Amino acid sequence: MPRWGMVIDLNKCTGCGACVVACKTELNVAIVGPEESGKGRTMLCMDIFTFYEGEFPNVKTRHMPRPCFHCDNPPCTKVCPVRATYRNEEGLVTQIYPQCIGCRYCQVACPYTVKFFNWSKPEWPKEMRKALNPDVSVRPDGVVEKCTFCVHRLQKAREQVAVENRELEEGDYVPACVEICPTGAMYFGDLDNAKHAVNKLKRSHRAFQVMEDLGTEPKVYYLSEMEIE
Amino acid sequence: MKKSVSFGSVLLMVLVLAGLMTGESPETQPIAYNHYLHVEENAMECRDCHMYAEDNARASIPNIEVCRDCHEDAMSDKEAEVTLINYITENTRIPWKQIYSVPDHAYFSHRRHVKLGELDCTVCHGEVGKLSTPVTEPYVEVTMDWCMDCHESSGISIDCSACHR
Amino acid sequence: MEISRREFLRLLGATGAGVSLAGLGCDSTWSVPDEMYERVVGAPGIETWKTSLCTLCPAGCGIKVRLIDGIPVAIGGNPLHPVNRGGVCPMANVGVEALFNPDRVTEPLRRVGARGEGKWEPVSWDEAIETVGSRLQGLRERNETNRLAFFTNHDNTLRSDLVARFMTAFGSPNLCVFGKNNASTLATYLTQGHKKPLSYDFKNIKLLINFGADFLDEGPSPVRFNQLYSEFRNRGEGRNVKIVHIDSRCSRTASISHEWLPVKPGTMAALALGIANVLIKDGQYDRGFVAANSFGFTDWKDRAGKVHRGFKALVEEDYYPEKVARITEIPARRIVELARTFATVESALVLAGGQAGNSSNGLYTLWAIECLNGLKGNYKDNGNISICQEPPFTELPEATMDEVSSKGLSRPGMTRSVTPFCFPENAVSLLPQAILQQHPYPIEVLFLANANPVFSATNQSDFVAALEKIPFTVSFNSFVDETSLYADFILPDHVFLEKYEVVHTVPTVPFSHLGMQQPVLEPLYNTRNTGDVLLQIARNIGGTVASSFPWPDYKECIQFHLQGIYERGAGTIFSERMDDAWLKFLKRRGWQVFEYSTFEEFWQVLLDNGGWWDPFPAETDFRTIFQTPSKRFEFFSQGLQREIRSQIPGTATGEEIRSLLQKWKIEARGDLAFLPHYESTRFDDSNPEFDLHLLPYNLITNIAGGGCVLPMMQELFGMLAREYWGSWIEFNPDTARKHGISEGDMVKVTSSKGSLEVKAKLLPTIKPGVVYMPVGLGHKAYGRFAKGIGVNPYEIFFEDYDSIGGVSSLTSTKVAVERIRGKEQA
Repeated sequence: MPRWGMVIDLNKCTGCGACVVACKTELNVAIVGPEESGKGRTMLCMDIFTFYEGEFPNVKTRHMPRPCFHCDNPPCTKVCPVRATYRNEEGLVTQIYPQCIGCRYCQVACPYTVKFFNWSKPEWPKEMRKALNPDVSVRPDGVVEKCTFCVHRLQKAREQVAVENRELEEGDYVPACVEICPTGAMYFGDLDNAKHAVNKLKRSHRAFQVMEDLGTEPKVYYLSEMEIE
Repeated sequence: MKKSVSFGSVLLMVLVLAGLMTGESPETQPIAYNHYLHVEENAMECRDCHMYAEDNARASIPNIEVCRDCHEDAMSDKEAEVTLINYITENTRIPWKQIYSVPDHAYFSHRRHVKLGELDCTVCHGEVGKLSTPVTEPYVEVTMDWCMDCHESSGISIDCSACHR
Repeated sequence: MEISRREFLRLLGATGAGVSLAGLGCDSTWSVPDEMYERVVGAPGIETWKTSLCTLCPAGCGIKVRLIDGIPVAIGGNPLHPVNRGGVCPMANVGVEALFNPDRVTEPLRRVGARGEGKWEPVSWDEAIETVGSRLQGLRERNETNRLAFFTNHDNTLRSDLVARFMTAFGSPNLCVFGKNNASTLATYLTQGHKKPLSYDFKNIKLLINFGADFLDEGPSPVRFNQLYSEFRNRGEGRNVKIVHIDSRCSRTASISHEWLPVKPGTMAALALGIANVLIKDGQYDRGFVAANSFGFTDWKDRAGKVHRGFKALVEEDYYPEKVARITEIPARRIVELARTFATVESALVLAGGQAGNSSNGLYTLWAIECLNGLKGNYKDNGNISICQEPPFTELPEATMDEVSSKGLSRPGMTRSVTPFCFPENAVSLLPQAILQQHPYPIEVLFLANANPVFSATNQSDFVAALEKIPFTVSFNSFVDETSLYADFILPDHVFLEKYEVVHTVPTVPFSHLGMQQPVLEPLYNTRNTGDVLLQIARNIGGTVASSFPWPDYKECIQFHLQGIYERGAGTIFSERMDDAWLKFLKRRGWQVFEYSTFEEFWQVLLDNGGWWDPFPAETDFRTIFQTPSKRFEFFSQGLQREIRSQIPGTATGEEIRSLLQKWKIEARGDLAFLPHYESTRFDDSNPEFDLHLLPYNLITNIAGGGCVLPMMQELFGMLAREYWGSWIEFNPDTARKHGISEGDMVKVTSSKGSLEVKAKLLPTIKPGVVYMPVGLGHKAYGRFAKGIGVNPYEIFFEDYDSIGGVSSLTSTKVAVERIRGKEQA
């Protein structure tokens, strides 16, 4: 059974934001407009956090793309009263929208703030609706949304390999953010499979997880930046 | 925006729910299509017209570009064919009413069921080929229960994320 | 009563009925958009991918468009395209939003209201083209073809070339190309004597010093530079490139560099010369190159025997590190350190852009910076710098000109009258002056394609006045932007997914290449490719104008150009493998990657794979790139000397010369004017209360202004700053404290030209005393997603120009800030 996970090399990431946008288009995450944005209701499954270390002029800026960490021990799933979010056998922390009642407990429970609530019915101008991704549902208002590791791509990939009568290989299933990354800073695969790059990378001396001490066991690893020799 | 739920609305909802569970009202199709004539009398296969049923998620409902292959010229003077040829010559799309649909939050793939699962079309669609009148209501109501029953009994994944998206 | 899903579930949960609702997908409670649902009905949902190019910005990245039943839904990078290597920026990723934007111009329009009012009526293509043609015909009959002006942006397309040809054939010198990289061509001209874009080879470099070029967010190809910068940091132990960034703001480019030197605005020339000083003093420059291939390094004697000062003496005397430290506010120790690293690494490159060129002393600054590349000997065979090679297109005979057009073309261009020196074509910001004064002649017809100076120039109101003065204006834009609001006709172009185009020779790219754009779907509306419209107009004019454009349509014009590449058999169509060894192997066996027996086959493979390139251009002797009077790299510019001299009458007295120099705002006297030096930057000193420098910067979500028609990009405009659908101003926390401003406050920013209200952000990545605002928002037109969102800082920018080139100075603005209200009340 694969255990899907991601590795993000911060030494390669330039913070261009392609992942943020690719994610928004892939998952049909609604554009909320200026008014809702003003209330802090902008919706992002993938986000980039910018940290500043030090003070002027010796300041270091760090960019950190943040998808859902798909924790092996997720705090969010434990509080869901309807099992709309749960960890499945392959380690994906799912978000089943038709099941979600919008109580937002999970949003509060997530230490990484990956979850967000959609406050209003998503609306696109009539002409623009054609450009939605038909592979992903448009959620109704009032549910909690989050990064799904593009599970719809897994559904399709699995079918494809079955048709081709072979096993799922590295690269068959890759989330949209990883696919778009122009600098190749993101890796995706089966953390337990020695043939996959993520398996080796997660053991790199540069690898770290965010807030490991919480015991959440995130499946997104980061590779720290290197100093110039 | 919390709305209070009155007794009246509860009653209404129960009624609505009951209505939904007994199925939707029959649709009227734009052409009096005769499956029997095509499948039984002319020995055509389902996928001759529903071309993508084996290789794609959606089976597709044939439209003028498919019908045109045979009906470029009239084969009869039946009203249904006259209507069809009218669509073809006018180059307008036939506004078929889709009878079976899966909501977009569930991934349903014909390829998966027909090609990989080797299910016969009739499992979900019944003996459509024997119908001489157009399909106006579904043979089975496609509910999650219907899906789950089959998945459970045949040992297919019932993980929510296997289908939901 | 409306039943919502929420209530449904609450009810069911309460009664404990486990009824599945999944079958209710078509219920209105699920807000599946109608259109999407309609598409689902019956359609097979077949996924296809089509190769094309994104031309939302001039970089022209190769893209792959995902289509479902023929409708484009997403865009990814074309991995075969050697410039962007499969990467795309955020803008390209949501490029389909431009296609489906509900505010596109869907048919030709004629103005009915007052100029700027935005009232239009539809008109047929035939009638519109007829009207435009007869206007042009009128100019020809009156022998005044020079009264046609064309405002466009340089976008590396074949259409740009077609526009230039059109202007030549018609007979007007007034082709005005707006573009950011103009400033750097000036420095190239002074040092190397040509105005072609330079290409850079980063393969062997160990150090990159970047003077202000925000390559990751703007410039020639942001995707390529994001990849390059990332690669510089990950070449592996001992092979990584050290990147040093010099700017007043730690931009994203600076943030992933290894060092950031926060320089005082407008003083980069001094810093460059300070580095040169250390190099020269230590004797650590490429002596071979300087001795054999440069001019004016040491003192020299002219024909008359007069001794002129050389670069070496100037730098040694005037730019010692301590002095430079005082000017630039960079500690002398760091200047020396940087210079020594630069001197000692085997291969290093210096690049410039951004505020380096956009200052009142921009030309001297870029020139001084370029001299560092001269000292490092970066010009040599297989060196780091070369000229961008154009693909071997079919050679086109010069546009034929009859008497009328020759006469028109021989008249001086409009900008020539407002800038005295050698670069009138760069002085596009000064156009309004010339147009308003009608000097040397009035402009009667104006064509607009992609240029939007009413939004992006610092003298926007002058442009408005000029546009109101021009009797007849035609816009070829796909949207009604601020400038098109003043047009009489809008002849809308397709959006990039609907047309054929070629993008070639993107600056900085070290191999010759072209990318193919092809329509991925039929045009949605009654729009036409501007290339086709221009050809039609030329045909209608007839005579030599028509015969210069023998193609029935723009697609055939493109094919004609490509015929040359097909016949010559040089280079290769983009192919799967791009690694060096493979390419070298191919080159040895004569590039036979694909086999095609006809041009049609070649064309099809070209469209499928997205373009053509030649990674190994013919080797040329590097000396041939120096076309200066000395045929060498000029530290002392004889070209500039000649230009300045030509403006000064031979009889002029010393006093007269001084007053002329003063009029041209050149501080330097004598030989110094012809040498790169630090001219103190001019700032708006009209009000002592204006105590902060205001500078602009660009974001990757709005490269070249292209993001404003994409709602996703408007929402994510400031995604790193976490500011959505809005503008902000950045302060150093120290500066903010001194002005009583806290994070999130609304502040009023006042310059001598006006004021704006905007939200404050406090960041340690800004030099104290300087404030920065992102540009790209604050549109007054351009459709519902752009209009009224955020503010446009250029509205309050002080107008000043580089004294010599005429390029707008964006570093001269000074402002006062005042807190209006706190975050809570905002």
